[in-house]
Order: sequence, then structure tokens, then C-alpha cells
Amino acid sequence: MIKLRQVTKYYHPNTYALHDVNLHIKDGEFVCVIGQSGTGKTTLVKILTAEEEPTHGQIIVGGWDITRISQRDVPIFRRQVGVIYQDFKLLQQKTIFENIAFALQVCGTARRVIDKVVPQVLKVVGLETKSSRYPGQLSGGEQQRVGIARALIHHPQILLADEPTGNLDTINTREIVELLRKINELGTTVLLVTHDKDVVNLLKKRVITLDNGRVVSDQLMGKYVL
Amino acid sequence: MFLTFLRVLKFSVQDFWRNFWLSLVTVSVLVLALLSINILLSLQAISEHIIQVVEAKVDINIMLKNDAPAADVNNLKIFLGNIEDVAEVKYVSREEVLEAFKIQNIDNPDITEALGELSDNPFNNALIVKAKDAQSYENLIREINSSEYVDIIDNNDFSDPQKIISFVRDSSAKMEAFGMGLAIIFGVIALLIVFNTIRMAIYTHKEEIGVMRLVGATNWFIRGPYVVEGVLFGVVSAAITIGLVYFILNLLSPLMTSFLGGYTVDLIGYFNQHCLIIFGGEMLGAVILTMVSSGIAMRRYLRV
Repeated sequence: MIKLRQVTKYYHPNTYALHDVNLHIKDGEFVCVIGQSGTGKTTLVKILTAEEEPTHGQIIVGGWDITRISQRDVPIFRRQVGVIYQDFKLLQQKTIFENIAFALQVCGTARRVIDKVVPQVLKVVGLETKSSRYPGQLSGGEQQRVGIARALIHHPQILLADEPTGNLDTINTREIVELLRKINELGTTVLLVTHDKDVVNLLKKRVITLDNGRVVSDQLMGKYVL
Repeated sequence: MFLTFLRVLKFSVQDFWRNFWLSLVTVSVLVLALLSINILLSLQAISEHIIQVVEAKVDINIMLKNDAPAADVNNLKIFLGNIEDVAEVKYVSREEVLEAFKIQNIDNPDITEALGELSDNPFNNALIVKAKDAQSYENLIREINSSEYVDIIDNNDFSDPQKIISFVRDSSAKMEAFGMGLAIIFGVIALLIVFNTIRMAIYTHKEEIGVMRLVGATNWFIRGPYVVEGVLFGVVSAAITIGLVYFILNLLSPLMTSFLGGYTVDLIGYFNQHCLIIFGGEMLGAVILTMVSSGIAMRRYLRV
């Protein structure tokens, strides 16, 4: 569950990234957040991952009140929220297996667990045969699937996708969207931030529209309308 | 927890080797700083030793008139013995002085021959006075010269030991100040270099750090490798310094013996005796310095 109550974020006194945002996303929902560039979509993701603090308001993500979270608890919280980005954020000098294993290593997971879990998650995203390749040897769609695999490695309750198809062609975009839908069907709440009209219309899920940091529409089974 | 520590250690060692040249420069400057501290300690040990030797060797020889009554000589001896600064007063007869002189110059035939030609013993009876410390000599001489026994004294023959000791003290103080300055300069350079090295390491691992944050690595895990790397710089530099100190001392030992002669000091023994406090302290100092430096760099450049 994600809950935002009167959330406001401004960087300068008169420059609002988010303004009085109220949202309630239930467990297992698939929500698209749309809006033009600079409307506060990325700020919303940063706030939901505790990368930035809101200026006002309360945010509850998966049972955590992240407006009151201690620095010590932030890493534990982040393990429960998977995030994928437009630029994949993969380490180029590591293989696909190592990239995903890295997410477990830095959290203190034992080697034998890593060896067991990583192939499983690679299978979920359909990359089990490419585990020894480097990111540079994969297509954009495949790299994003590695990003998804890494985001899923801690079995998060929530998956935040910040423009995940922004760098992909139509075919790869459809593959990623289908994968996200599959993940959602398995019970993970998915929040997809995008400005891709086709993706939103293809999904036919709840659509929240942001404009100048405000929620201007919130439709169930919505379409891309700006 | 242990597994996490091992991984932090592994990351820091990897980083140490990956940026080998940067690590080498950092360690070298730290070694120079530590070496200058050891040079400082060696100078201190040498000068203290020289002062001790000079203090032990220099006496005041009070030559007595040959016709001085024995009672007066005895009174003078008691008078001197009662002075607080006096450690020891010893009476030496003119015969003993002559014997000692002959033994001292046994290898010098000219002196032996000249002595043989003399019909009488050219030496006087003497009182040899040893002061408790070198700074008391001046005061002692003043007391002797102003005493009632000045009439039975032929002359008091001494070289002012305080001048020698002052010279040694002044020279060593100057050298120590220079060494201290050098150590501080190297220390500051080391601080800046460690700061820069850690800053570079953070910059190089910017992506990795970003991913660590993203996937929920703890703050300790993100910062740990840089703290450990700082510690590693300190430990490696101290270890190299220990090796270098013993190597240099072994090399210089024979030279020192010929240069300092009777004043030579066993520096290897000195370092062996105080190794724990000297090298332990230096290692601790280097580790604290590098940790402070990497701490500042992390505070500035590593947001977790």
C-alpha cells in the first residue's frame, strides 16, 4: 500500500515539484503515473524511495511511514521497494549474474543463497541463458530485464518503474510492459511512471495524471490524456 | 555481520590495488611523515645519550697547593661534600695523579721521556669533584672560589661542561624543531593526499555506490570500504616504516660508531626496547590521521 497525504515538495520557495498530493494505492494495484516533463513524476519516485524528503505531508509505503523513517532503517525499507530506471543503472564491468548478485552481496546474503536465488530470478525475466554476459553485450530490452531481475531479488512488495521503456524500441517496450504485468499478477504492487501513450493505453490500468506537481486526474481503467 | 565485514574488507583491498599508483603515493607520503618522526626520536636518543656521557665524564679537578695542611684539605673535602649539588668528592695524591698520567700516555714516548727527565713530580694533590648534574657546575665553581679554602687551591682546572652540554642541547633542539616541522608538513600533505585518494575512490565508484543505495546496502556497507581503506593506508605505511627504520639503522650503525666515537649509542637497542610504544603509537597515529581524512572526504562526497 502506498499512501500520500497532502504531500508537498519544493526546491525553492516558489518552485513546486509536488503540491498537495493525495494518493492511495492499494496492495496489488498497477498504477500508471503520467504527465509532461517537469511535472514532478521523478520527484514522486525519489520521495517514495526515501531519496528525498517531502517538504510537507505524510507518506506511507508498505507499512513504513517514510516521513519519519530513521537513516538506519532506510536501507531495510529500500529492500522492500524495487526500483527500475530508464538508464538501467547496471554496472558495466560486472556480468549479468554479478550485477544481480551484487544486490544481495551488499546486503550480507551468503554465497550459497546467492547462487540459488540469482538463477531463479533470471529465469523469471527470461535471461537464464545469458547470465555470464556483460550489460554491453545485451539489447536495451534485455538490460532492462536485468534491472527488473535486480529489483525483484529482495521480493519487494512494491515495484517502482521510472520511465522503464524510455530508451527502448516498440518491441522491447511491449516485452517489458508484459513482464511488469506478469509481476503485478504475482501480487506485487507496480507504479509505472511514464509518458509513453501507447504503454498506458495498452495496459488499461489506473492512470494518475500530474500537472505542475498536482494530481489533476485519477482514473480507473484510464487512458493517456494530457 | 562477519560476512559483511569480510566483503567490506575485500572491496577496500580491491580498491587499494585497483588504484595502485594513487595508493603508492599516499603510502609514500605517510611513510615520509613517519620516518621523520623516527629521525626525530633517534636524534633525541642520541643527544640524551651524549649529554649523559658528557655529564658522567666531566669533573672539576681542584689542584691543591703542595704545602696545604692536611687538616685544611680534609676540611675542604668535607665542605665540598656538604654542598647539595655535589655527587662525589675524591682525594687523589700527586703520586696517583702522576701514575694515572703515565698510564694515560703510555703510547706517547715523548711525554714518557720528558717525565723521566724531571727530578720532581710536576703534579699536585687534587680533589676531584663530580656534580649531580651538568647545570650545577657553574654554581659549584662560584662556591669554591668564594670559600675560605681558596688559599690552599693552586688552580681549578676544568673545561666548562655546561658549554658542551648546552651546545649539544641547542643543536639537538634545533634539529628536533626542524624534524618536527618536517613531520608536520608531511602529516598535512598525507592528510590532503588521503583525502584526495578517498575522494577519487568515491568518484570512481559513483555508479556502484548509487546501485548499493538503490538495492538497500546499509550505510556501514557503503562507507565501510573507504574507512577500511584509510586504515589500510595507515597500517601499510607503519609496517613499511618499521622495516625501513631497522634497515637504515643497520646500515648506519658502523658509520655512527666511527662518527660519534665514545658517544655512540645503540639505536637498534633503543628502538627494540621501545618498539611497542614507538611503532604502536605511530601506527595508531597514522590510522587516526587517515581515518579522519577519509571521514572528511566521505562526509563531503558520499551521501548515503
